[in-house]
Amino acid sequence: MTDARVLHATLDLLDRQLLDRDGILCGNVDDLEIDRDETTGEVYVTALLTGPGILAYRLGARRLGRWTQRANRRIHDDDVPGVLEDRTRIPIELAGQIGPSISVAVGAKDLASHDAERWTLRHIIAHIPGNSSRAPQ
Amino acid sequence: MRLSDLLHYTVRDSDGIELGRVSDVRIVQDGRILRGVQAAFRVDALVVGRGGVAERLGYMRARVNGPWLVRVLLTRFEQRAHVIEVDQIDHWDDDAAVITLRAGRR
Repeated sequence: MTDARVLHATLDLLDRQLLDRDGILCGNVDDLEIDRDETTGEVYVTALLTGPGILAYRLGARRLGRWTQRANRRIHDDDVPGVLEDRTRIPIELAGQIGPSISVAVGAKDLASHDAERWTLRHIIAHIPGNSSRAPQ
Repeated sequence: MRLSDLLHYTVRDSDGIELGRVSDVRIVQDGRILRGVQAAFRVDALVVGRGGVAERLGYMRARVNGPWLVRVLLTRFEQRAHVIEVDQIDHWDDDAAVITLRAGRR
């Protein structure tokens, strides 16, 4: 039997690069969600948090962080299929290899990290005459 | 709760003496099996105080002994740090961001 893995949150998890299921860079770990069981007293890390507003909240700009998260939800195109209930929250069981980067079993499109880029591409860049790129369908 | 919230908590012993602020969290992956895939990430201990770097590098409780110069320097840091196992926590005051330890623990 192997020893259980020991990690330090700020050293081994925070700010690590996230790789999606296809190995595409899809953001960084901006914060962790921690759940405390009032009955047993046990505490667990339940999710990796990433995306617009999360880092601002962590750095103390909590109002700006919440506002950014709300604004990002408004620009998110709902026709993009997603597997996550909250696009800034990756359940910890979906985290795979943890090293210099952390692989997660979701697609980059399931995360909020690039919503602003996607929105800009679809609603602005794609409509500029002479634009040779095509907005994602 | 977010980790960034927890890093603002102050830890006090049962007599109300302040030990410091949470500087890191030690996690052990030995919890219940999640979705049949892997063990849950249990928070095993809080690193409290400014000597957190010594704990991360393995210099707390003499787990690493050398090189001697690093050991001497980090042992001095260690004296300013506490590793508080979660089962030593008596009370979480989320409003005041204060964690109080059980009696007999320092």
